[in-house]
Amino acid sequence: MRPIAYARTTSASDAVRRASGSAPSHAEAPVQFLGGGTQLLDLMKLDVMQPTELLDITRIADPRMHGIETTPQGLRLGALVTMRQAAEHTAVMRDYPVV
Amino acid sequence: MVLGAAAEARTAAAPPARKMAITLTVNGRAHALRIDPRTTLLDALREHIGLTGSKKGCDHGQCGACTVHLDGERVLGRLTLAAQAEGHKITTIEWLADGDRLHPMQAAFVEHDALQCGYCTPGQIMSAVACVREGHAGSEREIADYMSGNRCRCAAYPNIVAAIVSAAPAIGRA
Repeated sequence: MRPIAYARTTSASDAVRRASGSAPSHAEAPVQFLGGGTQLLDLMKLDVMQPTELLDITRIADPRMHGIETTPQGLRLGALVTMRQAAEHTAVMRDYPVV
Repeated sequence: MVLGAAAEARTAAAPPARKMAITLTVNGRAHALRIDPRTTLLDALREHIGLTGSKKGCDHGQCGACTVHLDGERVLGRLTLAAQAEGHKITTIEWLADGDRLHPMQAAFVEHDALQCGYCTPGQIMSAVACVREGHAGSEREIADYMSGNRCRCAAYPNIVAAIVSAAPAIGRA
């Protein structure tokens, strides 16, 4: 894996500000958000993703980012909802078993 | 392999990573470490703290040999950066036994012969304890579902399930 810096933020707007830059797409941006890390760290080991900084966003307390909402329009999963939370959510199990 | 060699050359040319100071609370004890930010939780436990019970299997989060608990929930030590684990309570296989007295799940694995080579066993047992505490040990089918992240190349699966069934009442839900 390439050398990286690790940083944390507790604010969503700060995270967006720090990650926005000149890269043509977020996937190519040097600053990548670190949530669970399952996909990102694996792809970094394979040298597919090549960020220079990981910004740990798991300590952002915004309840919407940790919440699951179901409305007549559909399902909204917050960016920091874990796989386990989603898998055990009653409405997800009932209405979205494939998810 | 050409691709691999090219990737390695690029990696070698990159500047050395700066170390960062973190404190990890493992099995009730605080450990102050200076680590490369890339260090995974598994490598921090094994290489820096000397707790080698958690194993490195596939290194890609597919086999579960590196399973440890973070605040009581199972995580893959190989796909978690050590820095991410700072401020959380980390528990490893070394914490389960009370001296020479095995944890009920460890004793059940012995009793039911739930291993052959034993390499996956620390991860299996950490997952098994969490599986019971989560309330996912209601049936053999449910146990198999919620233990599916832990591979056993010796295929001791039926015995692993039997061990979990027998240890579940003594452990109980969280």
